[in-house]
Formats: sequence, C-alpha cells, structure tokens
Amino acid sequence: MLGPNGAGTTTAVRILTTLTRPDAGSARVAGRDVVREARAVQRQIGVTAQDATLDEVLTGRQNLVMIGRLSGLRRADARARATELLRRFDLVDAADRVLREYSGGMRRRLDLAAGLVTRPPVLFLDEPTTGLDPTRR
Amino acid sequence: MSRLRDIAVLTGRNLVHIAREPLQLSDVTVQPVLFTALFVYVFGAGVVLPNGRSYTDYAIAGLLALNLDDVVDGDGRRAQHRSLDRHHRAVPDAADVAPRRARRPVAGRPDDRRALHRDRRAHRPCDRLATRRRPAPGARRVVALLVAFAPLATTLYRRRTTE
Repeated sequence: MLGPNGAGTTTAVRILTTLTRPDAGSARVAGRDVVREARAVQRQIGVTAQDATLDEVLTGRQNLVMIGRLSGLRRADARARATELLRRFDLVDAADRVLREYSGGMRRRLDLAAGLVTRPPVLFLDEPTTGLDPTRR
Repeated sequence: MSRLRDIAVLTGRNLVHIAREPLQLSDVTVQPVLFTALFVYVFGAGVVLPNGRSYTDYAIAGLLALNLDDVVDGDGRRAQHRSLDRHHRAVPDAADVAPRRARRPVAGRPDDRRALHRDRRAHRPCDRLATRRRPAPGARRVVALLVAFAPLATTLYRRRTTE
C-alpha cells in the first residue's frame, strides 16, 4: 500500500485488517466482510505496519518464534520457520541479538519477516520499503 | 487450549523481559501489592456501601477480574493481531508482554531510540494506566468477568459477617 502523506493509506489498512471500524461502506478481504466476519478475516491476513511492531527486549529469532507460537504453530515448526525467514531476509548473523541493537533497516526486514511467519493468503504491507536502503528495496 | 498456549508463550516472554531488565520485576511484585493496598485501604476507606457491606470484598474480586482480563486477553490479542496502535506494539505486557507500546522513535537514529526507551521506562506505570484500559471492545468482557467474580465477593462478605 503506497500513497502520498495523509492520503489515508494507514487508515485503509487499519480498516481492511479489522483494527478500525469504518464509519460507512463495506469492505471484503478474502471474501469475508471486515466488520461482520472480523475473526475470519484476521485468520486470513498478515500485516506489516508502517511502524515496527516487535518486542525490543527479545532477539530477532525469539520475536519470530513467539509470533509463530501465538499464531498456532507448534514449537518446532515456529523455530524452523523463524530460521527460514531469518535466512531469507539476511538476518542470520543478527538473529540472536536483542532487537534494540538492530539498525532501522534490520528492524524493517524483521518486521516484514514477522508478517510472513504464518504464510497468510493475504499480506498487507503499509509502505514496506520505509527505512530500507536502495538495494534492499 | 490455544489460550493456555498463548499464556505460556507470553509468560515465557515476560520472564525473558525480567531476566534482561530486572527492574521489570517490580511490575509483578511491588506493583500488585501497591495497587491492592491503594484500592483497599486508601480508596476503600472513603467508600461506604449500603447494608454494612465492605468495599474491600468487591475490590479484591474486581482487581482479580481486571488482571485476568488484561493478562489473558489484552496481551494475547495485541500479540496475535499485531496491532498497529502506536501504544500497543506487538506482544507483549499486566504482567507484561510485549512489549511495551510506543515502539518506534520519530527519527530512526539509535540515540533517539535509546532516549525513547528511557522515557518509556520512566513513564511505564502511567502509560499503562492511560493506554491499556480501553473501553472497547473489552468493556463487555470486563463486565462479564466482574459478574463471574461476584460469587467470590459474596463469599468474602459472608465469611466476614459470620466471623
């Protein structure tokens, strides 16, 4: 989701991800109404917000494993998925460092990885390239 | 079952927090005692209920209900849905998880981040009171929990009156 400042991209994402209730109108995600079937929508989506949403006290790996576990993955599966994503986003060397020691770009990559932990059919990326260097973009 | 797993996961996270930031130990030791004493002996002394009932009978049950709601639902919901709310970042914390709230500095420089972290730690109790108790959509759940804990309040009252 990209757009000019103030265009309402974040608001649109919040509505589509059921975090904000629309004043009027309707929207469907993966065939489900975002108001009447909010729970069903939540099970179908992943979200990478404009701001980092990870735990700064945990390591990158612990963050991904925790999100996987909270999303219903078994412990072994969550660990395997975390390792796979850390490799894919080139964060293996920093995997066991506490998040507050990450650079802005590394946080952003980890945030993107977090949105992919559960392999959601629909993934919302709110200005996902913010903070990434040109090569990473 | 999934609720139990969520509780286990978030409890593990909280233990990691305490291990890495020992000052957070006060969140689960001093603060509960402090708040219980505050509500029972300070606020409670100023509340007069009809029929000779004691405010403290309800305060203890109410505090249990509110904490249960916060631990079971608040943190887990924030974690699972990865809220975009600036005050509730990912997972994490009344026993607290995740992380706490406003996660990101306006500018991305490490110095700013450290300053933000210091600021957040200094204002954590106030921040929690100001941002965690949001009326919706948890209001119905809190009311339901209070109703569920009503028998405990009644039991406390009866025990006190029979003694």
